[in-house]
Amino acid sequence: MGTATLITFIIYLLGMLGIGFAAYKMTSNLSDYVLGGRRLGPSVAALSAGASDMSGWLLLGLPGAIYAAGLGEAWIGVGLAIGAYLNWQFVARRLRVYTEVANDSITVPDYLENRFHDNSHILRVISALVILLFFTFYTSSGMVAGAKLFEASFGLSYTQALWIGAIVTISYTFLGGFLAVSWTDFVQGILMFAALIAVPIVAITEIGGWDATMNAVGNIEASNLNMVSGVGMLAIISSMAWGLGYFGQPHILVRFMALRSPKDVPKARFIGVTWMVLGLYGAIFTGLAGLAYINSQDVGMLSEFGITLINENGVQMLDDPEKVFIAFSQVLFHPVIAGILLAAILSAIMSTIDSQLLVSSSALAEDFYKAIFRKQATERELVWVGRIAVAGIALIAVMLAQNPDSTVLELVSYAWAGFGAAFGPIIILSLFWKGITRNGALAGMIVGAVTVVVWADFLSGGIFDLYEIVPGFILNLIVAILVSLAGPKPSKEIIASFEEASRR
Amino acid sequence: MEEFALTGATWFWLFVPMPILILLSVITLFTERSE
Repeated sequence: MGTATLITFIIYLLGMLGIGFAAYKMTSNLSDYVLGGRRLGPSVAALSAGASDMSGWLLLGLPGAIYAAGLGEAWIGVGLAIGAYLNWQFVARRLRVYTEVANDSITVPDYLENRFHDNSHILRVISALVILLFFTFYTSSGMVAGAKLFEASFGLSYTQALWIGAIVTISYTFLGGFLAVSWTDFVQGILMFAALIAVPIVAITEIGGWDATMNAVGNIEASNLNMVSGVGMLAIISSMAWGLGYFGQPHILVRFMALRSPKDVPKARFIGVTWMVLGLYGAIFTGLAGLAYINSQDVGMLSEFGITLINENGVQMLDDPEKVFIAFSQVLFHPVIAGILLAAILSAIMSTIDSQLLVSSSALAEDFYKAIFRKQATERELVWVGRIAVAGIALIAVMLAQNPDSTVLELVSYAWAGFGAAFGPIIILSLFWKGITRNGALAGMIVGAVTVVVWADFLSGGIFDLYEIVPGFILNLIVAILVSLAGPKPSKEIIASFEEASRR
Repeated sequence: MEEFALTGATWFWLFVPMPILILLSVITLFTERSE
């Protein structure tokens, strides 16, 4: 790792801390700390939603999957893009309006309690517990990915890389809360976008253009270029089903709630969807171009960066497919640009971790501390409880990430399915159907979560290899509707709020 | 070296659904603004 690359990188880290400090100056109460006081403009909200959603997977896992197995791995991109679009189209505006009508709710558990006038706190407590459980593992997996990456690139030990990344992320999140997380997400989202556009364009140009790239990839293995034949229907449905998860991801939903105005949704949707689709294309073509480039060019210098090459049936391949983006950044670009491209990968990882940390912190500060234990707490006290919660949850995640071979990486698809199946149908029904009741929401949520666990852990083979989000989502929806219809109708006050939210 | 290109079905699934989403977000940018 050259000095120029390192300096670029340190400037990036200092920039993030600077943003955290600026946000600290603008944070005075709990609503500021967990929702930015609903002050996000459309472009910050859009890129913050995108960058929080897209983890290091967009620059490591997806290009790696395409590199290793060809275009048959692109279906998940199609599914995710459709899900993100539908979320912006159908959930964003209504959730922004209804959370304000419902007693100015600032977290997802807060919204659920206020939407159903649930004085028992049971919806709030269960949903806050689900958030704390899944996000602790989810953030931990991001830390493992980040530490592995920078251990190799900077010659640090795994533990050193883990702590440096964690301390920077915790610092700006601790200080500046939601505004720090959203503004850093905005910068990180721009870095990710620029990197994902630049790398495949330069790579394909170096190879000799689009047709030359296709020929080179096809000559390695023709099936690499086929998205349809040889890919099973169950695999396609499972990949596309990732898109079902969006309606229940708290770290994305709060971006809708934090918008300055519901009128900003169309503009934010256009920015968010364009950012995501072009980013996904960038990742897919980086993987394809990698196949052609690594096999045909002299890339021996990669060993200096901890990247090993292997020979597979006469084809020169990367030993670790997920390093295809990093390999390009080192062989195609000036060291300063390589530093920016590496910062873009760290951006993808950090922008997801920080948002999940803050949502977890809000579950403790708003949904347990303020709602249940200290109803009279001052705003200053609540902000500090939020800060301590950020540090505490992050430290637990760091502890879970101590082992680089840890199984937390496998828990991401599980957490995504858990949120998608437990919260997704309830968010949609609560926004669109006035007949849903507290008991319907509670029963649906529990059935959705249990289905995900049982399907993933205890059933296998045949149809049970389908991604667990599908049965979880469907059963939650059915149970929530049936239980709501079977019990007493919602109160007049609840119906009045629903109609108020529908009118705005 | 043999010549290769994307098949029709692959070309369709790779280059039709995702750009349509951008197109829809452009259309609704104008239709929803006027409400």
